[in-house]
Amino acid sequence: MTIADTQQHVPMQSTKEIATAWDRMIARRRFYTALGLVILIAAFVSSVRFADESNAGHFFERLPHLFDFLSWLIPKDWTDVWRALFDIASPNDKGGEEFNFANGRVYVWGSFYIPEYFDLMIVTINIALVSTIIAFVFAVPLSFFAARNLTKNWPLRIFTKRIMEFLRAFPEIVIAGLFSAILSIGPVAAIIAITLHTIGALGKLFYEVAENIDMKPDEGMRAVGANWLERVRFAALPQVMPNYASYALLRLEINVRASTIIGAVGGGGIGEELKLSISRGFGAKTVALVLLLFVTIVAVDQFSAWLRRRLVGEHAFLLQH
Amino acid sequence: MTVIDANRMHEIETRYPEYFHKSFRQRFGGLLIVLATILYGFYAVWFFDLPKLIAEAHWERFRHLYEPVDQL
Repeated sequence: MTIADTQQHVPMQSTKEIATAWDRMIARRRFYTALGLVILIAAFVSSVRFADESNAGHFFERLPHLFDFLSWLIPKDWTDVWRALFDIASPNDKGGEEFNFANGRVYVWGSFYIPEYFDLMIVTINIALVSTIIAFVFAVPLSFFAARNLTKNWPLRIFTKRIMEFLRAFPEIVIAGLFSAILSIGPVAAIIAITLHTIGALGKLFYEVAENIDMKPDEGMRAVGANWLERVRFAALPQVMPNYASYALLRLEINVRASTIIGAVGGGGIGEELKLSISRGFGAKTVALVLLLFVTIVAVDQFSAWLRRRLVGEHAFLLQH
Repeated sequence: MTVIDANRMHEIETRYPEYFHKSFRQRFGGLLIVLATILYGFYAVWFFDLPKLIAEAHWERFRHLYEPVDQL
């Protein structure tokens, strides 16, 4: 028996009425949809046109030149990319800065050298690593102070949470700009900026983990008279440590990219060189830098993903991505 | 105070062997990670040349944050 069989008592007349009413309703709905779409398109076109007119460079006029920028950066001789990457002297070198690859060599032992860009990449990775470590050290205690189940003192909890919000409210570039005025342009301003932002970001992730722990070990510790520090150390920390380490590694990935960007605004490392070489239109150098950055970021991501899988297991990846 | 005698200690040890016979990695892994991090910290201080940088920093510029520039 189907649904249609149960509704045989409905007279023919009213079925027709229902059908026409249905058609009318569908037509009205389609009309409103079309009307909404027309209004949306009109609003979009007029706002784009307004933005285009008030903009200094006209967007639509310059649109065909969108890829000019890329064409400037295509190297004339592709083998120069490898020479730029490994600091091998180029036959195109006419004394200018575009092909002076061999000048950047960083000699470490006799005639053994590290190519300039690898050296800068090491600086960038060190910036990310140092700031993640310092931020981890500060974020762990802060997260325990902010966790509702571990800190019953609510003014302290609220205060800690606001501190962490304050720290992650400012983008890294703003803090880096402030500190580069004091510490002069260089990697340390970048370290401070990334560290401050990371304390806030990691602290939030951490206290959310800490709030979800099983409180039975804590109860046990409390029953034998343990103080707050002992309860956190022996009941909470073993439960949260794999997740904390996993989040710290995730943050390390993000910080490698962030330190590259801050490098471009005077934070040292590979970002600075990349910005210089793009602005001067040095094709071979730019492609070499982008290639190195790409390979490094993929390597860091894969390594940290592998380590995180080992720490917290496969299930953590289903929620985070 | 309750005192545990040798028999009781052995009994507990045989009941929970996994807590009393840990591998080297389980026992010292955390400590090694902490030590490696501290060593890396010293390397980073040398790498970024921190003492020189802190000494040469323009701390007086912090005053720009709360004092008008013409009063400096």
